[in-house]
Amino acid sequence: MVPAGCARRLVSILNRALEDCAEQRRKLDHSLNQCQALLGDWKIHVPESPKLEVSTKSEENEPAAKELEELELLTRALEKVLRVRKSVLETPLQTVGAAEGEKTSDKKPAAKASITEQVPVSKESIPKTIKVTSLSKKPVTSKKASAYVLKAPYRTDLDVKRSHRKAPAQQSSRIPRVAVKGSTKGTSSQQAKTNVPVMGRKVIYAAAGSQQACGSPRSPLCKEQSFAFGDSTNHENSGAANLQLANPEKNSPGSLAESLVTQNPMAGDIPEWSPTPQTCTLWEKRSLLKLPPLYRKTYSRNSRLWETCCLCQTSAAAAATRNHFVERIQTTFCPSTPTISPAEIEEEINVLHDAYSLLSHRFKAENTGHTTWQSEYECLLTLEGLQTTVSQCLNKLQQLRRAAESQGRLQACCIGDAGCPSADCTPFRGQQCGNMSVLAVPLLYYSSLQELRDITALKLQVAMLCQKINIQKVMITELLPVLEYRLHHKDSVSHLYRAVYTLLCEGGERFPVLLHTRVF
Amino acid sequence: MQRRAGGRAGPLPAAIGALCRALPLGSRPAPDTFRLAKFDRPQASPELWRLLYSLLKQIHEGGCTKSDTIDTQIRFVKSVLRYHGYGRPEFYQLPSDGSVGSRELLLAFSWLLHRINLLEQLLSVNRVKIRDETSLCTCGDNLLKSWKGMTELAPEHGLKNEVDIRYLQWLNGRLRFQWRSLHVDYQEQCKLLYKIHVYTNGSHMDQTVGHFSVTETDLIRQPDNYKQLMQLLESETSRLEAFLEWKQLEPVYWQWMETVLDTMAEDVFTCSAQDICSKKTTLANAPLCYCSADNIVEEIDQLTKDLVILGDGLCDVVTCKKSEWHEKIKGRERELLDEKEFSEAIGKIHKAVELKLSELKYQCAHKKNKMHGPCRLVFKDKHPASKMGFGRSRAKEALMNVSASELINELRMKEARLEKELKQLQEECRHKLTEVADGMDSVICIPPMKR
Repeated sequence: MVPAGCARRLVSILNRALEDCAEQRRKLDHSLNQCQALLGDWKIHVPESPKLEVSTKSEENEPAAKELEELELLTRALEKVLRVRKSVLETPLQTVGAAEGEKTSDKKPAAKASITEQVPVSKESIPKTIKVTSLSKKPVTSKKASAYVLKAPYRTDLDVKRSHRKAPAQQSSRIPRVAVKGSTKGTSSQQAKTNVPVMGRKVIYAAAGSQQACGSPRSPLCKEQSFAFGDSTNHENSGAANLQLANPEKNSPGSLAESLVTQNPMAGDIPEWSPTPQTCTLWEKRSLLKLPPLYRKTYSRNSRLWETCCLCQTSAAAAATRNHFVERIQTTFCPSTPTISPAEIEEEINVLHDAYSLLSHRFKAENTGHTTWQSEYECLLTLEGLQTTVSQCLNKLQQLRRAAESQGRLQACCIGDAGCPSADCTPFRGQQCGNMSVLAVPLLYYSSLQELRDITALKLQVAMLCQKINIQKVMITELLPVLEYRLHHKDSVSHLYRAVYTLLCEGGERFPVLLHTRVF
Repeated sequence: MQRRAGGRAGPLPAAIGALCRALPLGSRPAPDTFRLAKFDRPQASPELWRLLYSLLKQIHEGGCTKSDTIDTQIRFVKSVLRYHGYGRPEFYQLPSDGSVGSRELLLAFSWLLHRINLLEQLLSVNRVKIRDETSLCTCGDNLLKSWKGMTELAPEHGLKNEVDIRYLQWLNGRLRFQWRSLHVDYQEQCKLLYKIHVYTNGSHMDQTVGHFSVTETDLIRQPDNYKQLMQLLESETSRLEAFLEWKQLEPVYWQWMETVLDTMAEDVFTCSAQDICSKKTTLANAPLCYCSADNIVEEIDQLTKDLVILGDGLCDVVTCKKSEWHEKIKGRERELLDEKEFSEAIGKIHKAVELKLSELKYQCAHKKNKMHGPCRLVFKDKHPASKMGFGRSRAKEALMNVSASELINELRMKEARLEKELKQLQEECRHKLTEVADGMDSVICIPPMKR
């Protein structure tokens, strides 16, 4: 226990600062999620055909048991993923596990390897997987799938597939993955051609769900293409999709579940047999996007009104009558009211702050070397001008100080009467910056990502430095006396000294070295 | 009164109606309240207190955090008015149960309308957030000023008498880590924002902007989530219209306010002599608890110190240069080509410097609005493929528009200044601590290597 005295203020400042940071991060998280959702896959609202509506309605009748089941699957998947992650590179037997693990750890070469492995495609495992997965989905699809069950030659695989089923609960991400797994089994028998296009389409739709591809131009194409082609693109895409899933998220097992969950709203549409695909991205639609007409109308009306309001001046008649009233009411003011209100004092102080920085900036600028006598003379005159301005500012400051003191005295006499409990008042200050009565909001133009980054980084840096300076000042007032006190009392202060040195002089980053020099 | 106004086809009711409609939705009084207040009817008082409280709370973000009783609300309102320099003693003597005084409140409200441009401020503060906004400065940051003055007030609960220094180190380290994570998050947001702006470039019907904001893009993606936004936009539009109407009808309102003053003067006349005598000549009951004068004096002193240092520095340099100049002149006196030419040149220089200085003086005396306050973030490609110039550049706004490079320069300067200040503080500490180290016997301190 290395006591540091009652550093109450310091602790409260630090805690307050931490809270503020946390709050900022929360807000930022929220907006980051929103932006990521915007840049990810969008669910398009296609005009639903009556068949779909019927199917969805019938689905609703199915009990929540299905949802519970899926929830259970999801939790089991999460557990499995966590387990898998631990044993990521362990056994080659767990090729499935390895494939999953590779995906979660976002190792591109590994994923590629698994993809290339799968190029020799196995088809008949796929219908089973689809059947297996679709068992938990709508009956519409399962009907189709069950037709294939009979054709499945390898029963044993079903058991294996069932365990895979526990993996990603969402169909869209499941199907490509399962498809990938299926192919790692290395079975090579060809499927009947009739099955191929249908399944291919299904798989591709499913894959499309996790892809960043607008499916509509592609699906007819894919239908015609051979399954091998479709499948390989599927694999690539699924691999890529999986990588993409892993990419934006931080590489943690939790993130996999997150990506699964985020896939859900998109995947929800997939099993429905609508010929039009359901997702696409901002990138593809970028030039086609249009704001809703109602919004456009309101927006243009709104912006025109803002413009008019900005340009709107108070008419002379209004100004005259208003001033007359205000003068009259001001005659009824108490005679001891100070002429400068606290708000005005603060405003003037802000102006003087800016003036100070402007003057010191100019001072530095003028201090550069001058070549000709003209520029020398100019510099001299400018500096003299600066000097007079500085003295004018100082005079103003003196006035303001007197006004502030009188306000303080007035406040002191009022405290007795008003009895203000400061506990539940949080002081306010007037608007620090920006002219709030001006209705126009300026535009900040940036032309490259680097500029935006710089602006953000610099603003953050400035805020951080201001905070550090404040903390430093408080630390000086609180910690140094403690050190001196203890030294005075001949206590051993080495540890305290080292800690204080680190905090005060190195911003907590580096430590000094203390050597004992006692001779033994 | 109302009937008379009605017979005149009521510009007054129209004016008051427009005023009410220009106020934010949650704080709108009934127009009749104004009429009641003119005659000091007590039933209008609570509503007017509520009105003032809710409006002023929107503008000043402080105010009561814990309790919302009438008492604290009234104290808040009184304190804000005191802050802005309202000086009617009768107002401050109003009882804190809010039962009487509607006329005083009406007067205070009208005075505020003028004094702080209440309507404009309310419109600005309640602007619907459909654009990507950021700020040009860091003044509004929570991390800076708001807690500077508050450290005295927040008592630390459960804080033992002594704090372990390692706890402080740990807090400090956590803070540094938070800053770094914040930085990373912000950079990520920049990237995403940039993508959205670039992708949607060219699709917006507003030519000056050209691309969608995040909210607008989300509006396209999920129209159902934004019904409330549309409603807010509608209400803002109607408020703006009411504001414009109000601007037309303003004179009527101020004339009516004068009649209120007349009515009040009449009533006072008929009061007993006792009441007149009891009118205090000081602003007792005028709380200023929401704004501390001590902090201001501290700030003034700090600024004075800085200016004095600057002034001294200037003084030294000026005297130095002056003497140099005089010597130069003396040395060249014989060589001077032509006295007339010389004095002409001098005259020109004087003029140029005067111009510069007058501009500087102006800037020093007036509020600098350029690099402050909220702004709208707009992406503008430097080499636009399409012709997307400024279109109809609104002159007033074009003056206020800021380019990113300007802002970056400004921020860099600020950053350099602050870093210097921090380094200076640290250097001072180092100095002090070295002295302390000398005082410690049998221990040598080796400071870390300078980077």
